Amino acid sequence: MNVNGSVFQQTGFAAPSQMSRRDVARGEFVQDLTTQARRSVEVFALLVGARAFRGTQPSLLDQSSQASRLDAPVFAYLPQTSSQMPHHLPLLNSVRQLVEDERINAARALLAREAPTTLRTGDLATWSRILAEPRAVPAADHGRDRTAEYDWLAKYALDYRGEWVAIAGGELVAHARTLRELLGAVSDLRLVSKPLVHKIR
Amino acid sequence: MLFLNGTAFTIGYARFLDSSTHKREGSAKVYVPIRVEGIELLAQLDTGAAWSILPSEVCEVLNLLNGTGPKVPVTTRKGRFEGRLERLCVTLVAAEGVSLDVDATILVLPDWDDDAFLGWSGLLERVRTALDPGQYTNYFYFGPVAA
Repeated sequence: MNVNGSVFQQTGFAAPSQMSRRDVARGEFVQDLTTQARRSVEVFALLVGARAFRGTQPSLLDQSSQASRLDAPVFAYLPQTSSQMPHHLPLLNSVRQLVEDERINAARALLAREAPTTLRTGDLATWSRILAEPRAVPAADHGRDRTAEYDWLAKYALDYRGEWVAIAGGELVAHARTLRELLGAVSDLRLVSKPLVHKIR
Repeated sequence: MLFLNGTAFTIGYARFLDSSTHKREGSAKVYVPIRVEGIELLAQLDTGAAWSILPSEVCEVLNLLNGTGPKVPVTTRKGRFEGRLERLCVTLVAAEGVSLDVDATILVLPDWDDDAFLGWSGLLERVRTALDPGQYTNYFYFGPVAA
């Protein structure tokens, strides 16, 4: 593997590790999909069953004896009338559970598969927006080198433990107990370029 | 900026900082400069973290604490927290080359009194990165993934 004309790392070592990571990710992804698809179908069947039952005997659904026939967590989601049945709730719950389990790619895949873009409104739209893959694009600015700021931190940071500091060009321009106070002080200085801010812990 | 087998791999780089120089805890970590809505600060690279997190004070200043994103719990080395997932532009600031804007998902934790973290999901997963640690200079290269 050549980086800028010189060997950065031997290809023989790099490629297998990358493949391994992908394979592991794909394996987990497929497993997640299988498990979640099964769970989604089960929950959906339960809801459809409850809805059909309610359609034929609406008055009975409010009775506790009938309520006990349903899985309690799912029953809790049932609306007052069948026309208000939110079909997407099992899907939302599955997505939420996947996210809580940090299986983000599986949550994305489930959303993509079960909720076409045109049907995403309300909470589904929110989850779709939040779980959308990040998008990286070149910024308009060219940034700045913070070597001088790092050098200042190496020398003096521990003198300001517990405080926020603002450093610019290798000099401390402000320090404060809270970030809001610090930014206020920095604003008053009318600096040409923005400082690096950091809390010393 | 960085070429891999003859083609551009990244678009910019910045020096990264070892935390042992400015933190009571001495273990080595990788801090890189980021910018969020005009505030430039250091964030710790953490590919093992599910989400990126900003200090609660930064979230407060940026009015992120009253967001409406979905609530999710997260377990960290400091315990269990609950916050909201929000979409935000995070910029990886270059020392040389071009900075990188990432339309990212971050976890806003009202009680997070710690450093900023750049996690995998919602941010690093679509950013090319390379670390070049040296005796005097540590470089963090970054760029967008290929389309």
